[in-house]
Amino acid sequence: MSEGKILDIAHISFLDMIKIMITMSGAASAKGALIRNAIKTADKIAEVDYPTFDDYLAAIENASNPITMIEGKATHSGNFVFGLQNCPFGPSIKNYTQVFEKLPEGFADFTAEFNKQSNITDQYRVGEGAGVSPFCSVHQPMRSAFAEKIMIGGKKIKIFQLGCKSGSGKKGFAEKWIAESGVSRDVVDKILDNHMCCYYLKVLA
Amino acid sequence: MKNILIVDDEKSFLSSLIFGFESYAADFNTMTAENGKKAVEVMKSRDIDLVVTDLKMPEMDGFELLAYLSRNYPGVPVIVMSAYCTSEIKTMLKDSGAFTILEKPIDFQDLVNKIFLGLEAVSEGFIQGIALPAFLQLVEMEKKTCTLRIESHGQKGLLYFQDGILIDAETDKEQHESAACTIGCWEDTRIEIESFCRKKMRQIDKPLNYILMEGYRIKDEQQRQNVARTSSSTTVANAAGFEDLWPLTPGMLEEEKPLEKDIYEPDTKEDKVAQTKEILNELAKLQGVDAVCLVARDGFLLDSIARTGTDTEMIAAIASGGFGASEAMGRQIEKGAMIISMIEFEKGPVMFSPIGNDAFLVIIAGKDGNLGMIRLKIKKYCGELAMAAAI
Repeated sequence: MSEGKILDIAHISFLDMIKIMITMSGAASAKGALIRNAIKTADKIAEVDYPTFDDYLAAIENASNPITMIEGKATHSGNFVFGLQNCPFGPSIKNYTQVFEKLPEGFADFTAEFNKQSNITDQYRVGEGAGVSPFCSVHQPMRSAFAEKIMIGGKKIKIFQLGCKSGSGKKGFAEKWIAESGVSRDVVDKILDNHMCCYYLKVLA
Repeated sequence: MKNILIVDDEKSFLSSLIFGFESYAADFNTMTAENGKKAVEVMKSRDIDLVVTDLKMPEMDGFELLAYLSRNYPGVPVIVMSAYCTSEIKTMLKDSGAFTILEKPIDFQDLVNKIFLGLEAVSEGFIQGIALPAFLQLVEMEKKTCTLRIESHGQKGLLYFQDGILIDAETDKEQHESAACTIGCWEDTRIEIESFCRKKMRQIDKPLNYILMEGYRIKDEQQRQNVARTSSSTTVANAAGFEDLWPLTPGMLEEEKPLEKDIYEPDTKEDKVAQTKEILNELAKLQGVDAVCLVARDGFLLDSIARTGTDTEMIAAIASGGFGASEAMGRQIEKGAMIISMIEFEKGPVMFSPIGNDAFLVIIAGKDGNLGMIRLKIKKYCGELAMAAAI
């Protein structure tokens, strides 16, 4: 006998809790709370220094790279531009929408809030149009914060979020970070054809 | 030798004061009057350096006496004795520079200290007469029914109080609330009082404090517009011109003049940071203020001034929830945009106020915080802060 649809309660609670946070204290405050929490997660990981960029890529392949551990394997498309095949929040969204058909109300406002210019999104080079759902406000800053714990050849690295794609296929581009990274918008667009997320890794001098 | 005048209709109280003041006979002479009318006679016949007066008296009460003193003896400090004085009102009136208020029953030593402070202030030229806002707050506090005729630089206005509630106001050009806001900001006022209210219909539904603050806000805006117009038509505003455009509001101290930087909008990021810091410094200087934080709405700290050891980052994060919740409450109960939210703790209040669309201000004060002044200052500076803090 089939068990039918079983909800992952952790996923459901998380999505509904975002909605409650928006209702109780507004989208800006909810966004801040999620970003703060995401950044704090990076405090829990140890610093790592890869001798070369190839070693960094190898760590992605063997899933020992800290960023890979949170989001899965990213594909290096050349020139330090990466594409991520699957959104780490994909299962949560699928789980929720399978039962409740649509995501909770207020998520659009939250996403717009994340894409607005702010000191914190500037600091971590996220948002600015690259947010396509509230989950981006967790995922993107967390990845950037994790990157601050990683070095390549003794040099610090920075992540620039370039674009993202929603489950419905709508692409979001962070024009500000695309311009600052020097990566062509066309490149980002093409990567998003086959990926859900696109970012640039800069090794600092 | 200095002369002080005590005005009270309780003869036994006057006798006990005269007896107590014998110990200070080398410092000042004590004269007494049993009501305002008698006090006026004494004022006309002797040089009085300080007046101590009750408010509730027959024939001519303390309010009429205060109004008379403000018109005829603006340099004479006054100590008012009242049985209806809350600590918040005392604090609000304290910064008026006009008079000191003492709660009844009187602590004799406290009265003596206040008399010496008052006499010292006169000799140092600090007393500047009775400011209208302080007088109005006293009317409200004592639940007085009266009609006030106010004159200032040729302008005339009327304020109507019923049991301490401001029910109506008028000037030559304005009526009701707008008239009250205008009158509340007048300076160098001449006050006349009639102990009955000439109007019966309540036309103003806002509390006096709101009216006074709104008046200052409107006045500030007008002055800003004047400055903007002047700035655009002249190359450089000289110091004298600037002072003319920024007169002190009643009851404000010299140090509370608007910042000279207010006359232009900061262009560069460095200018914005500097101006933000300057304004936060002004706020932090207010009595009883422990910390001032400018916070982005997402709860990340933009700037702050606080005592050493204060975790302003954490305060910002927590305050974001409180601020957001206050706004959400306003939306839920359809009360419109939030102006100020205050949480009162055992050891003092915390206030939140929106700054533009992107930020808010958190002010943490101690028990001695002057809430009225903090509110006024928030209103005064929120425009500049919004410009300076624009992300």
